[in-house]
Amino acid sequence: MTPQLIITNLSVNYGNIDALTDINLTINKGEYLGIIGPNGGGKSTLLKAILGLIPYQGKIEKIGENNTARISYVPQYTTMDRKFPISVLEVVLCGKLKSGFAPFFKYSNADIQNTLNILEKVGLKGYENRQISNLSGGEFQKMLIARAIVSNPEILLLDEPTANIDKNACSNIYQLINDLNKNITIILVTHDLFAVSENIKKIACLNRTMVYHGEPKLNEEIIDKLYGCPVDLIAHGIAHRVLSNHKELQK
Amino acid sequence: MIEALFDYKFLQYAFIASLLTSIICGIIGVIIIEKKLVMMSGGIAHTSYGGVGLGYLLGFEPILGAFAFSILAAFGIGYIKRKGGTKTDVVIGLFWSLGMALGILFIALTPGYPPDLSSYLFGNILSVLSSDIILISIVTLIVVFSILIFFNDWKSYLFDDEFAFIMGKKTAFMDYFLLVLVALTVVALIKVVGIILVIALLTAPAASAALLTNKFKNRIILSIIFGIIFSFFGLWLSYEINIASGATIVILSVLCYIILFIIQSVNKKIKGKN
Repeated sequence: MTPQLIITNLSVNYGNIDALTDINLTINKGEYLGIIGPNGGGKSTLLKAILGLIPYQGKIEKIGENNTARISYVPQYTTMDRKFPISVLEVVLCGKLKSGFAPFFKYSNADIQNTLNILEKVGLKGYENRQISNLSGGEFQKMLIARAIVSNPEILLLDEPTANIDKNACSNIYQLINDLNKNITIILVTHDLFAVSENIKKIACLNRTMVYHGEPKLNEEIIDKLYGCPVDLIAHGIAHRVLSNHKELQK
Repeated sequence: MIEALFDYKFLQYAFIASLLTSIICGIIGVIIIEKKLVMMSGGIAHTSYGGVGLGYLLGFEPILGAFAFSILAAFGIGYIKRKGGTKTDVVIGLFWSLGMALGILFIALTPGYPPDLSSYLFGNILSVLSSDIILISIVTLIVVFSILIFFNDWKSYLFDDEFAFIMGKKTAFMDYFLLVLVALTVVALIKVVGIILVIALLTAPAASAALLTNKFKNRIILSIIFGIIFSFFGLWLSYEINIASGATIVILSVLCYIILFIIQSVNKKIKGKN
């Protein structure tokens, strides 16, 4: 078990509000971690801190094969501008951008070929010349996943990849993430507790601080513990669902 | 009018100026619409009025004052946008009104006969001088080259700046640089269409183009073509019936947008019914 991401004493605050306090988390290579927690519990904030998009206190180490691990990100598609005048191929090619200033940068034929292969892999073959305004939610999400894969990451962060997406496309997307997990460490923020019980190997419950971190088998003792903790704010329904799923498994 | 065009230098300058302006506005307009920076551009434009006033008061070229003020506004608004997030529109409002107020104050303090300010507020394309042509040419070159050379970077930044940052792009620099380009654009446009009408010339051609194509590159090209058509036709019309040129160009542009919008809405309705 080689660690891939080590978070030590991470705190983030927005003005006077503490979004996250004292997070300690180690994620091993090849792990599939699900982060759950209530709205405003700091899930997206944690992802953004890991990506370096927001300032934070504490230490985040990304350990890759050579120095810092390559990291990529699938944002919540609902926050994106879905009317932007750009084609699917152009979006996904962004994963091939050179870092820093790259005057007269053009994508190579190899870049384009690799991108087309990955579009096929995520199930968007033949979509490359479509404008993104003509995509469904599920297709848009797959395109964002393809863009992240194209950048060849060692760690992949996904923020609510199945929010507002129909069930069929959902299972498609989870299947895709499962496949990716063979080579890539995955951190997934989700409300979808079915995903937690089916695919995810470890969960972290986040409500401004780390409430629970471990196996996704929530036994009654842990649920009790969770109810004592701020996590019971998630919505009772969801917490019960995890528990009852688990009970069914035990039977 | 064609004969007059050969005879009068000021008409030739007017045409060159509107051609270059159309190129700048086509590029920057499409970008600020996609990045939702239209009001911010308006704020920068109006803040520059303070610089015009200061120029008159202290006796230096007002356009230099406008340049300094609009750059300051760009950095000020940009900084607060990065720090504060939601308060951006408030800050734009403050810069906007402060710039105008300072301009009026400085001009009132200027000794002697008050200078003609309406050419800075509403512009007068027929009073463009060769020095203005040089200024506009320089700004055109800066805008065109900085966008063309980094075209793929800009496109990815405009679509999703967070992902561009993760890919190692200097997005903070791009934020500020874009605002500086807007400030430069504003300064170049002040003489041609005036502070008040800058926003219309930045938005109308780009918004019209957005109705017709959803490809980024085509949108810029179409927006430039629209700009050229609007300003040449507006110039001709204003010359023939002897009305203010800046206002004519803007009214034409906005009318064209409205007509296109109606045609498209009707088209959609008809398609929906079938």
